[in-house]
Amino acid sequence: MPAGVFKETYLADMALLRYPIHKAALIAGLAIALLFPVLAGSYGIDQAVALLVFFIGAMGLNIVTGLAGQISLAQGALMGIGAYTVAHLALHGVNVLVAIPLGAIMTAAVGFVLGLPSFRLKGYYLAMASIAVQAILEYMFKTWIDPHQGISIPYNTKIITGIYLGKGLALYYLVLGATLAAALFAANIGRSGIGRAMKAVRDNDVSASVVGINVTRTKALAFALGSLYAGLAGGLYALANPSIGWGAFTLDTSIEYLAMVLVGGPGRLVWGSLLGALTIHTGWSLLAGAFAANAAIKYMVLGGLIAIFVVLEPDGLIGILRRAKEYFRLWPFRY
Amino acid sequence: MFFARQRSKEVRNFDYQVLWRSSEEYRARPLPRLDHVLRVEDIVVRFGGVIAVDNVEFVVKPGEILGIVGPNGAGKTTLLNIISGFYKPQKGRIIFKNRDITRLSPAERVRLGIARTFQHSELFTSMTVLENIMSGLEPWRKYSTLAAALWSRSTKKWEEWARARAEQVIDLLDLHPYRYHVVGSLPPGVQKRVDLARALAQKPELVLMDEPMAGLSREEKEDIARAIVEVNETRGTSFVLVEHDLEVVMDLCDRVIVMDYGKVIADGLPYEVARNPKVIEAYMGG
Repeated sequence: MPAGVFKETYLADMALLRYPIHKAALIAGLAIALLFPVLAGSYGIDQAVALLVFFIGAMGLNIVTGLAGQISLAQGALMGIGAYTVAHLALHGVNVLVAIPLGAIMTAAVGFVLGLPSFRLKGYYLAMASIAVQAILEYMFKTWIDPHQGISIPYNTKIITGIYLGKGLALYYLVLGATLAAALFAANIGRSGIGRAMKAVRDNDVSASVVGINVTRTKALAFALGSLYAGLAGGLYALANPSIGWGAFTLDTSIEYLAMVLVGGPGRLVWGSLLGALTIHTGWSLLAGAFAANAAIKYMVLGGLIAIFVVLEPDGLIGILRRAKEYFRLWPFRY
Repeated sequence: MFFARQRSKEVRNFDYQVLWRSSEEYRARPLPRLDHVLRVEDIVVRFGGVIAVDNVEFVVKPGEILGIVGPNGAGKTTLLNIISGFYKPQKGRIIFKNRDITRLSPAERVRLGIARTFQHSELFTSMTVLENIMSGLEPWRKYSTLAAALWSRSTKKWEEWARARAEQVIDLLDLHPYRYHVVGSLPPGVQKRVDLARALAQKPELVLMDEPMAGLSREEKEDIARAIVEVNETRGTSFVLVEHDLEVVMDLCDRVIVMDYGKVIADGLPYEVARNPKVIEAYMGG
């Protein structure tokens, strides 16, 4: 009798769901996600939608920072580009379901251009360049794109076949579907040759170029993909909110995104981003409630959290979970 | 599921010789109609005022293991970097199988069939052994990003091909126990083997090795040497070894080139070169 699960083909070994427990966990997770809005109230749905939007954005930054190793602090502004593209298209009467993909593509194009400095810069210098990009985009939002602090998106562009998509169950299931698709695509890219090329560039770009990987193209692709996800997140944000303002796309948001990636698990596109988004998003709400009198404290706590994870736990929460799993796999024996 | 009893007959009657005879990569050496795999013509490289490589000329014949030795700072590694395309020479040409490759990028040279390993194995340390080997096949990737995102049929087909190819090298270099290990946590001897595996997975016609034996124990050196000899004998792959371990060079190489101050001072069979007075002078200090 075989003791364990054996694979006979390479494709079975590369599959996303390799073990029975993966399938069971997927079914359980899907059931919880689908039944959640029935059990939770409208506040719960709003929070869940916000979380899923951040999850998509965090997956995008995880492609850029976790997989390709290019530190970017402009994810918030890129999300803003997606949201403002959708908002302006909606002002011209374009339905949001058309505008959201267009916004994502627009953001990918902008992100590709913003990724150009990464061909020459590395590490801290690239982070500085991305902060500059964030500042420029923020300035553009404030002065040209959204000078009155808030664009309200026309109600009728969010209606399709008589259903209003901007609220309640319809919004939740639409965002959930987009998130699942985005997560599946991210997982596939992560396990394909593209993901391996990105990891190779992250680990050792000199040797990657000698091995035959096109470093420039890989970096550009990482930035474009990461921005595509940011644009999608921004578009869904614009769908979920009746009006959008630049306050949601500041450097704070970018730092939050970076915190999600570093705390969750850099390089683990789906589970790392999900854990990170969950921790930072809920943690942020709790901190905002706890330190309502003095907002500076919550920034200090967030900064401390990032520092602790970068120094002590570079694999993020995923690394802690993996160690726990290894410990309990043979428990109570030690080896 | 694998049941030994059902398969035992199949396994017992299997003719293992077939693996050696039919496989396309096990062709006889040397390559037909070519007197060289690589020809280096009048290469000059200067770093500021230092002439690192000075009018170097040599030929690598098909199916040959060529050793390049010389004192520290003789320009051996620079020469290797030029052949692999990492540096550009100020003067001279590099010809690979009758084709001028002086202006080609490293990736294009890899596609043509030049692979390279590094002195301090420059692996992708946070990736697994399998991922490291498969990332060497990236220049041959056929599917687009969209196809990868959808995990389309072309993606599956290519990934399966790449995996099969990686498994061949894993067999060759006996890396089975480490397949899913993160490279950064492996001992240096195994890391060197992974580095060689990444190069050999590209099925090159010429492998450039920068100090493959540096810092290895005797057993680890034997493992690497065995792999080099096997690939050379069965696939007819040529090797260029830059090596300080003269014992290895004398045993392994068909021909040896000695460099000193960027110049080639001797070229010939290992035992001839070892007796050359110029070489003795360069090593002992005149």
